[in-house]
Amino acid sequence: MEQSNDGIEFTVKDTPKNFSYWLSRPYVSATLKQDLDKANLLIVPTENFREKDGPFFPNGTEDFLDFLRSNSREGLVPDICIDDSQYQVIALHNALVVIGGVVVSALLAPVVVDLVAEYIKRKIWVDKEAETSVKFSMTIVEEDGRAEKMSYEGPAATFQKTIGSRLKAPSGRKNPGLEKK
Amino acid sequence: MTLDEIQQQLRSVRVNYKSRKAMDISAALALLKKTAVDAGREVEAKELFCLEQTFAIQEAYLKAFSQMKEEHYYEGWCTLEIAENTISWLLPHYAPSFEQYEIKFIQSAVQRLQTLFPYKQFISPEFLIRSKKCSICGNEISIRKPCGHRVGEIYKGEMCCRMVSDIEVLGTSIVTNPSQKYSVVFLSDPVTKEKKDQYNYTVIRYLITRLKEPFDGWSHVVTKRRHPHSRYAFIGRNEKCPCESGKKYKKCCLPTEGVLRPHIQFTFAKPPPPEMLEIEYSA
Repeated sequence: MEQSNDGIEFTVKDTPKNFSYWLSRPYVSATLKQDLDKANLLIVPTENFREKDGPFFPNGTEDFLDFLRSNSREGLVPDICIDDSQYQVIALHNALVVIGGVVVSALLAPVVVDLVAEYIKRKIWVDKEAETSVKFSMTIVEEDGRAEKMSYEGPAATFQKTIGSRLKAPSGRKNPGLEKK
Repeated sequence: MTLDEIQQQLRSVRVNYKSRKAMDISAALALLKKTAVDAGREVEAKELFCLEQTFAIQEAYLKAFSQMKEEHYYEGWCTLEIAENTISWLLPHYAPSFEQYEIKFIQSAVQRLQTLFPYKQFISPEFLIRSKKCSICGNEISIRKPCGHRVGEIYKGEMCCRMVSDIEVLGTSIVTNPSQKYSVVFLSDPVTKEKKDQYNYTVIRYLITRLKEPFDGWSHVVTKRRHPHSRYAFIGRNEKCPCESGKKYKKCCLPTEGVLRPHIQFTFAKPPPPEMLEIEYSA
């Protein structure tokens, strides 16, 4: 699915990159994997940028993780898919708010969208919402491990409405992330 | 100078901006803040930091206004950006006091002035940052074990930021929405290699020459108006339409009563000097 109206680029695609995929990446050590096993919201890296091999995170990821941890809702366990020694950041100096891609269990996706929307509001001036663009991706993992990636790039003002309207109703689903604990 | 006296000076910026002694205010604020920090009075130190930034915003706006009056437009643009950035740092801490120190006026004026500049393309560098340190504690930033100091928060009278210690420039891009507005694209003289300012400052000049004081009120509305074809007589029927639609002139505005071009209408709170009323803007 793809939309391109009023400067909004919004895509939804199936992806094999669920929790298991990210936990098996070469930059995830055995010790780190034990910590990440407890998480149901993972900030994940981009694995290459131009000709360079990563992993890379967008500038401001420390701030984003700190926000998620400080404002975490009940049952939400955020973490980041990297060791300290390998954490590096790509800073693109245009006025686009780039938020790290996240992987989240399906039941928690609406809560995460609300949290990210709140984070965006804190990042930008209220009266600049219309002119500030946001780039964000969220992989939603179902109970059986199937995953769907939503990517949004467009005005901050329409972020929550665009992604929120695409989320499936969570009723009748178990949360694989919470089950893991 | 006492704190009350400083606050009074900052509140009266509309009338005292020419006569107030900026160095004295700056020195007095620094001394008061040092005393508060040394005594461990965090709340007071934070308030004084905010007053320092308030003063810096006022000074930046006044300087930008003066630079634009002197037709140093790029310098004025850069100083407006300093005011904009400083407001964004102050905003999370000091919003309720904005009106009494004219910060709300300045914030609005800066945003509107920026839209009147002709700069549309900017150079944007791309960096790979491998390590950075906290400006408050000096510790290396750890993503898994943070030092606890938050970027933008005020500690001991200073704002926390990150100091990059290992960085690689990956490239540059040309963007339309830069985070650093000062990186305007200029041409250079092919022979001397010196910077050549190719921009048309008609709109910003029109406004600034009609404002007597930096805090005189103004507003503007951007619309479109059809301009007579006689102004575009040098453009052929098969060339691109001067309205910038991308279509041929003959298939766009030529069959109409004029070329549809942006039109800016200004409203001034105080009447501009009489000699300025006769001049009509045309781009």
